[in-house]
Order: sequence, then structure tokens, then C-alpha cells
Amino acid sequence: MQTLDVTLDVNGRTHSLQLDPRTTLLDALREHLGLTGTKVGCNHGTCGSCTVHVDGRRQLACLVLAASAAGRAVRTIEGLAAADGTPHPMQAAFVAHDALQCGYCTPGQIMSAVSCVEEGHARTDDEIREYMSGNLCRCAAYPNIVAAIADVARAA
Amino acid sequence: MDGGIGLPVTRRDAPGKVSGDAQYAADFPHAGCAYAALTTSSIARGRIVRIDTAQAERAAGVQMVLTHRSLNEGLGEETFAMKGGHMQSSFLPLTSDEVHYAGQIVSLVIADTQEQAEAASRLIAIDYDAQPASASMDDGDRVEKPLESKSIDVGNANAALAISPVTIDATYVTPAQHHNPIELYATSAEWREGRLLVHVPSQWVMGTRMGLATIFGIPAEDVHVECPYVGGGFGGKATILPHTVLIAMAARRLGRAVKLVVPREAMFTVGSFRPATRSRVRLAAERDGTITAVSHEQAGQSATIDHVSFAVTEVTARMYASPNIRVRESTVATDVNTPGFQRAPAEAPGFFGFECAVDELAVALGMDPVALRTKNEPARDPVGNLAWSSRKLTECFARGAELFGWSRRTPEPGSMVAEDGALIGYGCATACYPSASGPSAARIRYSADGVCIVSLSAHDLGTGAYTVMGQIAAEVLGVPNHLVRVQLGDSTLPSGIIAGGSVTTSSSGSAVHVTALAVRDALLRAAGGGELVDGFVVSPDGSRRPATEVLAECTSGFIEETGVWKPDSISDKQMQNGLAGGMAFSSALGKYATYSFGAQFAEVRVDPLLRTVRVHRMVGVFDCGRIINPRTARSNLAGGMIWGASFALLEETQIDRKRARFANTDLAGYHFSTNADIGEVVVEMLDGSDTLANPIGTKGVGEIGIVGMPAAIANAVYHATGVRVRKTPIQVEDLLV
Amino acid sequence: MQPFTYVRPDTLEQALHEAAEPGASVLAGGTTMVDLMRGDLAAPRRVVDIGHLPGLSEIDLSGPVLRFGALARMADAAEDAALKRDYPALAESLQLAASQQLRNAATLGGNLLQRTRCPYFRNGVSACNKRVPGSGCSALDGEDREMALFGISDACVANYPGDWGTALAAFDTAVEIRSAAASRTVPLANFHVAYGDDPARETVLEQGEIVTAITVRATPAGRGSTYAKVRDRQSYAYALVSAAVALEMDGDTVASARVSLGGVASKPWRSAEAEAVLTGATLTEAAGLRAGEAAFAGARPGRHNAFKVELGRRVVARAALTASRRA
Repeated sequence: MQTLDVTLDVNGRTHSLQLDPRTTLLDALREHLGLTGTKVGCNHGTCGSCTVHVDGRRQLACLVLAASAAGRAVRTIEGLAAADGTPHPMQAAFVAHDALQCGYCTPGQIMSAVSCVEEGHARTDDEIREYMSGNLCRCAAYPNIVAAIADVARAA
Repeated sequence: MDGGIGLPVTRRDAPGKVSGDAQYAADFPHAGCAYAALTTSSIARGRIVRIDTAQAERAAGVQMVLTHRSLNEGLGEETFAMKGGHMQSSFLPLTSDEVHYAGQIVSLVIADTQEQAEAASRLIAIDYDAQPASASMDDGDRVEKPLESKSIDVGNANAALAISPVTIDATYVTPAQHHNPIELYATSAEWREGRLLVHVPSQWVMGTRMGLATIFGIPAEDVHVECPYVGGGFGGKATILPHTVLIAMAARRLGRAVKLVVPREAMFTVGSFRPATRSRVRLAAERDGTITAVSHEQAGQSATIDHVSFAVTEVTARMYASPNIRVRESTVATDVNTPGFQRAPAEAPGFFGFECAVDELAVALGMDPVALRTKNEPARDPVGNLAWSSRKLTECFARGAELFGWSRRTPEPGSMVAEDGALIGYGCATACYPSASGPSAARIRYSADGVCIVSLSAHDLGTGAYTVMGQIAAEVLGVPNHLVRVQLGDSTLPSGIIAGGSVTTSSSGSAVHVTALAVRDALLRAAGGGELVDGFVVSPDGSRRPATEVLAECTSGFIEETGVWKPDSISDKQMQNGLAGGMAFSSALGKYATYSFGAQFAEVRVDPLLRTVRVHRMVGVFDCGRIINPRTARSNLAGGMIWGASFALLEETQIDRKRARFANTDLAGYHFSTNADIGEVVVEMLDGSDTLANPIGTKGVGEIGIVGMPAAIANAVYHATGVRVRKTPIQVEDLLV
Repeated sequence: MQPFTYVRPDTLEQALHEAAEPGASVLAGGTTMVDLMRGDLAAPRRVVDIGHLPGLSEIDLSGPVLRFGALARMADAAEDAALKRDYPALAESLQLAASQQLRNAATLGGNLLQRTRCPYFRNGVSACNKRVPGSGCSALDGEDREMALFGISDACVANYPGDWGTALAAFDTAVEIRSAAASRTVPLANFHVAYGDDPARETVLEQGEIVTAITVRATPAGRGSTYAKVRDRQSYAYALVSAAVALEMDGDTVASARVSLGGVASKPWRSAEAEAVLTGATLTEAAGLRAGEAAFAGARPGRHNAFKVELGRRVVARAALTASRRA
């Protein structure tokens, strides 16, 4: 069986890993790097809870092989706050608007929401709803998620 | 006081959840952990005649393969939760060669890595002796089994139906549905010197502890169930799922921690689900809208391996004043995994049909649906003539109608059209959920540094318990919010209650309340008397000093009390059983009839050509007794309402009747609402404490939000289109007429 | 996933060489391939990762032939201002597909190769001629609400799920294909294989071939185009029925019409029947419905999907009306 030397750049830190080629970016983060903030909800690209940023764009870590992510800048929920620990404005807005209940989809929602604003897809509530529809929330905190993102978009 | 009852305190667990720090079951590291993967049955009923594991056992990294042939350990007797035990089902896979339902676990592969376990699990070859099977209650060979104990007769409904001038007689169906929390079922188990540590998403850590202790024949204290956060429960994580037992066993045999994350597709069969229902509702009224007869007969899907019934008609029977009431319940056994609790298990499906029928009656009478409901508001429980502990349904409808703008409604179907040509429909429905409670304990430590720690093994599924429990303590002790800490979801803490049936705040909240009172009394004793006001001890002479000063004078530097609360109707013996991890609930029907109520409204927009439906907005006004935290309660109720919208328009586990198996077993096929499906959601909670229910005056919030919404939306769809759809989900093909 | 060897060539030439190895599969965005591998629906012995290769991601809309590099991401094309203006049907088909996360990863070439969502194919256990040739088709007597009405047979009634491929089918689209030895261009109409004809096959791609670009002949009908998609929920779902319509108008009269259908066929489905009805017609809702009726005249509904005929008729009408307003 092949073992791959994979160098991952996660949240600005370089990690050298020896991986089974089958390892997804999601499993590399969770099981090899202990970065369990990125959640597993389906492993099929149907829920959005594993959303991370790859080279600045939101993607689903469950459908990316870790080997394919080598050399790309990966950002996870753990890398979102400022160096001094100050939460990212989107994290603060989610707290302020009660945009979460069980919290399981929340890291994915927030990573997606940060991109949603950066992409310029947060100009209206309906646009936010559409561009956040790749992140399922079974608790259905949707109205508060929209309010949180709209708040951050207005401030941006 | 910034953290007491009634304040919209920010969710205490939110910072950890937005940072990724909050640890869910699959997030806990276990040193040297092995990984498990499941194989499930491809047939729905029959026997395994051959199971070849040789190839899987030879595969790279594989440590163990468990099948019914290798699972030969003596296990303690544990039973189905609805028979007084803790298991999701009375059948434990791998204990026999029998297959009872499609997707049943037939082997478990343990390997060094996740990738190895998954790959090897595909290499197991199985031959079955397949028998005919039926997974649908509509299959021709299925028979309804009446549950006579659930029958209610008041007056003579059949006679009244025969002579009343206006009657409705219609049948409504709802499909099987699955919880599909975003957090997958997952279990990690590790044995350390004969003690079992389990990380599993659980709505009932004490029950899980008790059940696993029984199964493995060890003292309950030797089982530690840790689960501070649950990534969505909705009833699916209330009982012990069989794979948790299997993982714990594999860990014991291997002498190594084992972790299983259940794949999404297996989630449909390794746990429970909301069973399908069929309701026949007959209503009769005088021409002025006075209801003269209510008849509701419900049949629910059950399983051949376990009898399961979610009787809703004992609730619907009590909705309207009627001199004649007749309800019946029955079940239909099918070859499926055991159904279970799913958010408002009985009420959500049952109220769909019942409240649609009320709308049909309003149409037949030419009467406004809100006016019809209000006209027939019962002063007392119409079945048992009990007084309501509180019932503000009429106020809910009045306020809801005002918030919604109900008066703009023109009754004729299709008579309201939006600027873009969309057909507008307005609909409403009643929601109701029984308010029960059970015994719970809590521990509070109040220290000289001002920190107040509230500890109990209750659960926060996103419901707000972390926040609410702290507020209840803060209310009594006057502790500022930033000094309150709350610990939940750990079986080593004083016994909290199962997170099910909307009982947590009423039960565990009451325990926190009485414990806080005990801490207060101890503090005042230490201070030599006086009163505790906003964190200050006020002496009879009027002098004030901070409570922390008194605490600093205690030798330990803190005061700690452990308290217990139980509802009056629960005996001491029942309480002891409940605190140990057994099921112990009061009934909603005791000295009073105690229920949460709600009035729910929906506006739908229907594309006039394509006939697609969108929920434009929803309004819910609720009477849930005292609201400890309006912020978390509102989110919970809004979430329930969105579940209702999902129920009405999207959710269905398709059953392939030919193969007796669930068909759409992934999140691309099993639809629930996305963000884009939901418009405005307005929630209001009426003021009012119900201290006849419990000392803190709460009635339960978690489930009622969903209850009336499916019917409100179906009624709105009728109003928009003139098409009466008597099934859920209401899909585009139902409206292409 | 079954074990495989992962290779990451630096050039297209190396990739073509690697892809020619028996048992090799090409991996680009991964949104289809990794998913299929996870369910053992694809079990390559060698995975040739081309996602990073340079020079295959350009989108060039300037010439008489539009050119979409196979590795261009769906999101980039969906947001391309010129594409949105000049070919709204193509941009909308991408916009209405999947989610932004998936569109950021999935490539335009890879998207054409999406495999069916048929649950009997996906579940790994039911009889399925696509997964296990000769085993039968469970959808025939199973749950077939989502199944196809065109390009099917008793061997397979599965649905092609792609929106992009469906919209492209309304235009003169071709697929550029390379192998180590040769290159060829296949009209889109001949690229996919109707599942009903050969369930085990998806496209005419041979082992070792890689899609390098998609080309579309420029047409003024692009401006008068739209992609209409009806699904069970408002977003993040596959089409029950979709239609791309591109029109050139002469006043109120349709001068030329292009119509393709999605959610109802085993491959991107061009409807010459609907085009014939629309061409020369004065575009009203009634004319649109007549075109829709013609489009579905040859449909072969199953047990639970007959509604797609009526729904499809209306979707074609809606798309035609929207397109005519833009033309």
C-alpha cells in the first residue's frame, strides 16, 4: 500500500504527514491534525458542515483528497480568529444573533458565511439565503444566520 | 442582575461553538484508537446462510471482524426503551442469523484506520435466505391492530355525526421521516481497568450509563458517558443505539479504543425514525359552527420486532369543546427498524390531519378558521373535565392573527394574488403539546470568588439548557451572568433528566431552582440570617454585605448543595429509578390538564403556472408558561416551525415496497429545508407563569413549534389553490391540476 | 474507498500517459470522483490528479467559438459577467446547480461526467445494470419518481443529473478530448450515451482520454436564453424538470428556437419537437405550452414520474416566455 508524504498548509502552519492516499482533507484535519472544528455530516458533499477555505475559496473538505490539497492554503474554523484570540466578526455576529442551536453545522456555516460576504453574495437577504443553501442546518437557525451575515456584510 | 429568569441572555455555549472548540462525540481523541465500519443487510427479512469474512480479515490493517458467528459473549438483558429499558430496539444485531429489516447491521470490521475499515467492510460476502417482507403500512398483507386501551368515548360521536347538518370525513396520511441530525451517529468506547468510557451523542447520558452497565454486567459507576454537546438530537439520540453496544464490546475484546462514525446512509436503519401515519378524522357541527362531534382514528406504522405506538388522539380529543368525542388508535407492524421518538412524535403527524379537517369544516361552514376554533374553545378538558393548569389558546389566536395580518384574508381560494402573479394562501392551525416532567437532581457550588457552578447530567441539544440552567440559579442567588458556569452531558454529574418530551427545563430546571434555594438558605444560615438580594445578604437590621464575603468566611470557601426535585405524582420509588437512569415521567393529566398551546399561521406563495410552493412567512404565538430565556426559546420555537414547513413540503423517507427498504437514504435524496426555503419567521410567547405545572412555571418549548405548522401550510395551500392535499409532503405533482 | 496509487503529474502529457494505464481514473475537482470512490462505485487502482494542471482553466468568450477550459471551475463560469449577459442559460445552469462550495471545486469538464443520482445505483446493493451489468434495473418496479422519461429502456431508467450539460445541449456544443496518442472533438449530442442503450456506459470517453475543453458556437440566441429548473426545494437539489430555451425573435415571432430538457432524460436532451413548434410561432403562454406538449409527446413515464410530463410542459412554457423577454 502506498504511503504519501503530504505537506499541508493549514491556518498558516505547515504540517508534514504520511497518509494513506485515500485520506480526505476532512479526515486529515480531524484524525491526523486534531483539528476537529471542521465537522463531518455526510461525507458526500450534501450538507456543508465540512466547509473550509482552500486558497481563499470555500470548499467541502470531505470531497477533497488530502493529497490534492498539498501546496494549497487551507483555512479552518480554528484559523478564523485573530492572532490575539479576538473572534472574527462573523463569529461574533453568530453569537450576537443566536445564529446557532446545536452548533454542529456552525463551523461550516461560519466558514461559508465569511466567503459569502467576501464573494459579494450578501447584498440582500434573498441572496444570502441562496448562497448559504449549501450549508444545511437541521436545527433550522436559518433566519438568525441570515441576520448575522447581513450584519457583517453591512459593516464590511 | 443581568442573568436571571426572563432575560435574553446570550447562549453560554455559543463562543465554543463558533470557534470550533466545542467537542462533540466524534471529536474526543482516544489514544491508539482503532476504527470501525459497518456492513448492513441487503435484504429486508430472512436469514444469513453464509457469511464469508476471510477476505476482509486478510485486508490491510484489519484487527477484528464481528458477525453473528463471532459475537458469542454473554450479555446482560437490556430491553427496548418503550418497554422500560434503554435500547432503541429490543433486537440487538449480530445476536442471531435473522434479518428483520433492510439495513440491519450484519457485521462490524475494526481496523487500524478509518480507510482500512471502510474498504474491508465491502469485502464481506453474504448469502441470504430471503423471505417476503413489507416495509409499508399500505401493503396489502398488513393488518391494523387496535389498541383498545387508547380508545376514548364521550357521548356518542357516531350518532351526532349522523344527524349534524355539517360534517367532514376525510383521511390524511404522513410518511416515514428521519431525524437526520447533521451530526452523524458516532460512538467511541474505551475500557480502562474494567471501566468503560463512552463518547456518544446522547439525549440521555444517565439512561445510556444504566443500560450499558446492565449489558456489560458492571456497576453503573463504572460506566462513564461523556457528551457535553449533541449535534442535533430530535429524539434520535434518546436511546442506546445497538452499534454503541457492539463498539463497546469490540473495544473490550481488542483491549483498545474503538471509534465508529456511522455513514449517513446507514443512519436511516441503525437508529429509529418517525413512522408513517394514517388518520381518519370526522367532525360534525351545527350551522353556526358549534362542534357537535369529534372523531379521530389514527393508525401508525410499527415494527414486527417491536410494538411502537405514538397515540396522538388523546391530545386531539381535548382540542375543542364537543359533547361527543370518539378516538381510536391502532398500529400496523412492518418489517423495518424500530421506529422511535422524533420531534413531537405523535403530535406533528396527528395534528396535520386533525387541523386540516378543522379547516375543511370551516370551509364547509363558510366560517373563518380562526373564528371556528375560538368559538369551540373548551373551558375545561372536554374528555376528563379537568381544569386546565393554563390554556391561553384564544389569546394566542388573537395575537397571532394580529401579527400575521389575518384580517387581510379573503376567504375564496385563489382570491389573493401577489404583484408577481403568485397565488397567495393564508392558513392557520392549532398546536398543542403535553407538558410532562420527571425527577432530576442538580448540584450548585457557590464560591467566594463569586463563581457559581451548576452541574447536572441534563443535555443541551441546542435547546439552550446551558444558558437556562444558569439563569434559574442566578435568579435565586443574584450571581452576575459572567460568573455562572454550567456543566451538562456527563454521567458523573448529578442526575439530570432525558432530553425528550420537552421536559428538560420543567424537570431539571426545577431541580436547579430548589438546589439554588438550598444554597441560598445555607448562605443565609452562615450569615446568621437575613435575606439574599441581588447577591447581597441584607441583615434584619438593614445592613448589606456581599454574599462572597460570607462565602469567604466558610471554611471551604464555598457552599455546595445537591438537590432533587420531582413532580408530586411521581412516587419516591419512581424517583429513585428515574435518578438512576430509568424513565419516570408525570402525565400531562393529573390534578390539572397541563399542555403548551400555540396558534400558527402560514403564508404560502404558489407559482400559478409551475405550481411550486414557497413558504413566504410563518407566525407562531405560544403559551408555554414562563419563558426562562426568550432568546433561546424563540430560536427553538422558530426551528420547530421550520421543521413543520419541512414536514409539510419536503420530508419523506421513500419506501421501496417491492424491496421493503428505504430508498432515498442520503441528504441529496431526503430533503429538508435549506436556507432558501425559509422566509420570515415570527415567534411570540405570551407572558405567563404556570406554577400549577412546576415551581418555576414552565410548560415546555422544544416540540410544540412543529405541531401546527404542517396543517397551517396545507391549509394555506388550499387557500391559494383550492386544492385540498391530504398527505405530506405536498409536492408539485399534487397541485398540477 | 479501495486502495489506489495516487499520482500527480506536472503536465498534461504526463497525465495522458498516466491515465492510459489500466485501472487509472482521472481526478479533477473531486466532487464526483471522491464521492463515487467513497461508495466503491468507482474503484480505480490509480488516481491521476489533474486538478492543478496549468493552461486548462481559461474561459474565452471572445471568438466565434466560446471555449471553456475543462478545469475551469463552475463558480468562475457562473459569475462570468460576459457569460451572464450573452448566454444567461449557461450561467444560470451553473448558478442553479449544487452549492457555492461545490461550484468552487467542481470543474466544467468534470461536471459533464457526473453520474446518475439513481438510489439503486448509489446504494451498492440493489440490482442495477449500471453498477453490475446484467443484474437488472430495480427502479423499474421500485421508486421511480426521480427517474427519466427519455433515453431509457427496461435495462435502465436512470436520470442524467447535470444542469450544465443540459443547458449546453441547447447550443452547438462540442467536447475536446485528448489522449496520449491523439485528440478528437465530439459533438455534445454524441458525447453522452443514453443509459437505456448501454447502462454500463456514461460517455464515449475511452480509457486514457481526458476532456480538455468544451466549445460552443457563438450565437445571438444566447442572449435570448434562460435555464428554468424546478426542484422539490428552493436550492441545493437536483432538477425534477429543467429546460434551457434560447430564442431569436423577430418582433413577437420566434425566428429560431433551441430547447433542451433536464431531469427527464438519461443524457442532456435536445428537443427538436419543441423547437419546431416554437419556430415561427407568436410567443404566448399557450404557444409555450404547445411546445412543451410537443417536447413530452414521446415521453415514457414510469409509475411515479408521469407528473413530469405535465410539469415539463409548463417548465418549457415558462422558459420560453423568459427567453423571449430577453431576446
